[in-house]
Amino acid sequence: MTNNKKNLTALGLAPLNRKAREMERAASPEALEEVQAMQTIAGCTSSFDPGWEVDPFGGVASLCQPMEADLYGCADPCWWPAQVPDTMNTYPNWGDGADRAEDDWRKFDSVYPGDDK
Amino acid sequence: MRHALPTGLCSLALLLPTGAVLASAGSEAIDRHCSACHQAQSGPQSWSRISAQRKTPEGWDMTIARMQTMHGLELPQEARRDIVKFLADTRGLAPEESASQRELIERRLNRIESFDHPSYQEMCARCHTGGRAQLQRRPQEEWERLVHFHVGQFQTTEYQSMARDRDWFDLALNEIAPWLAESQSLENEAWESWQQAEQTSPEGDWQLWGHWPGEGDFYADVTINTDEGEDAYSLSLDGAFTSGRPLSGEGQAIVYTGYEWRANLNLNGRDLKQVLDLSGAHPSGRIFDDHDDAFGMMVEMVPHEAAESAVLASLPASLKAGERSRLVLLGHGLGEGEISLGEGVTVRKVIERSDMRLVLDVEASNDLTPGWLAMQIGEISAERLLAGYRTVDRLEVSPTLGVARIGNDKTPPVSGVFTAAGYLDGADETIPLGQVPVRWSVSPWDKIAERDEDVRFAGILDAATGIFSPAGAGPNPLRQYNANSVGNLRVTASVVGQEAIQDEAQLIVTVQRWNNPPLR
Repeated sequence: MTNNKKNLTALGLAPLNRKAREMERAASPEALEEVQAMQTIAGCTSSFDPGWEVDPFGGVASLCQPMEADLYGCADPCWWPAQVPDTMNTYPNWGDGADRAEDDWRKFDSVYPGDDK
Repeated sequence: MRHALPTGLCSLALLLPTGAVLASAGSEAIDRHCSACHQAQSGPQSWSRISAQRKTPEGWDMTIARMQTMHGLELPQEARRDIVKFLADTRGLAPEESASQRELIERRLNRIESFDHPSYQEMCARCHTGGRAQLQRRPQEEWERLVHFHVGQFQTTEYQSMARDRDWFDLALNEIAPWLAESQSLENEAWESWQQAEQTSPEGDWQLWGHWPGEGDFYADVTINTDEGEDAYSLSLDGAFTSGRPLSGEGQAIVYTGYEWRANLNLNGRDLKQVLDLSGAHPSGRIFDDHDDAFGMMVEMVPHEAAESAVLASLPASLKAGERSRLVLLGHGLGEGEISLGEGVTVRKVIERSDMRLVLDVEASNDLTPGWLAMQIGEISAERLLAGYRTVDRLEVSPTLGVARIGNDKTPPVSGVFTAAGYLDGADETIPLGQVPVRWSVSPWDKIAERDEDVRFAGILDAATGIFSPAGAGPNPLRQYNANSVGNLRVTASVVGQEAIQDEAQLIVTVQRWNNPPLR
């Protein structure tokens, strides 16, 4: 808990990539948390790691890109269940026939059972 | 206009001797499809869990969808519709209970939510809207079960950011659940009194108006007839844009809970949804594209017949000095009498005139005095409905922060839809001019967006309409690391002829989502 309030340098960590450097630039951990919470647009999430629609800085440059490269890293551990069907529990067959998301991304379908299904 | 308990059945049921409760298609469908798990309880039409909750029609539909997805429920679409109707009618929300979340029901997602609780945003609204739970009513034990459901179904909930830094489960059970039980209790006066209110049918002739993105202001006569089915209606629309271009269409609607109008429309060939709140004097709500929810228009509707004469709307809301244009006035009692639109405005031609509508060809003089134009139609006066201006003092773009999404056929793209309203800033008051002619442009939001060439990759903003069409989904081989065509953009509007008068907004162009229930 207390380490959450320290910046990366104080924890003996040197930022290696762009996202880490931007995290370091954030004024304070409290400010970062406030930014994360307050910039969430209705129904979007910026709050996880790094955020599905919006990154913790309110932009898109620190999103995991391309999203398809790590899509199963989101779906399998149920990381954004409101946006990405979780294959852990709710939609175990969502990825069937799409073994490599970067190539097979066109095969993913929406999951909400609507009137026309 | 007041509406009431839609079924009539429930209120009637209360008057009947115990055991003589009337069955409906919805309650029979629950008995058939749900009661194997949700056991019937003592009391009329009562089942475990189900009867301890109240929700919107969308909320109940999402509950049934969850039963289908997570618990293997199989039921015909007709039964799903019947159950939603029955539960929304008998266990719905009163108008005052849904009032704070109309934007969510109307799918207006480009806004930042705020709540009267210090950690509700981080605890719940970090994944989905906070409004989603605000549109439910439950006793505390049912809110606690909702917490248990989240941990059981979405098992990494506690490991995610804004959960692993705290005892999420303990806080959810012991702070959030009691707060929700207190602020959103199952039983309350609003729901009690709404169930007793008198019911009114929307059947009849109405006039509706709004602003169609990219097309302009429009008005239409709406005829609503009863259709086959409980609280079912058919409607036809016949109208025009203020440009004169015709607008027509038809649709089918169901009224839930006595006031929640939900329609499927086809307007000028485009399939759209309509959400109206019928509980007030003037029904109002939104027409939108179910697949591209940013594309939508706020609408108001008034009956053709009214006791009082009045001008209710002016399309557009302002006239520019030196310009000749078409002006549409909507209201009641407009059919007779002299038409005066204030000093400096000349009516060149009356194109259409009826009791409820005036379509005029008007000219505003070059020396028109900026400010409100005092309008007089026969005995009716309207002092603050139409304004005249020479130059715009201030511009406001909305939304200030928008989210568009790249897409494909399975997850259609979501547009960015912006509007720019002008204002006159007087010494004593600010006078709204409505939407004024602007030119739209897009630029990088920051240096990172400039470096990543977001403007080049993310999509195209229409300079005339302010509608942003996002790029296609998928990895983009032209970008570094094959990044998606996402972007962080600055959308700027400048008044035509007054380029220095500008306002801007942020547009996040982001990735698609595959889970798209009616309440996000």
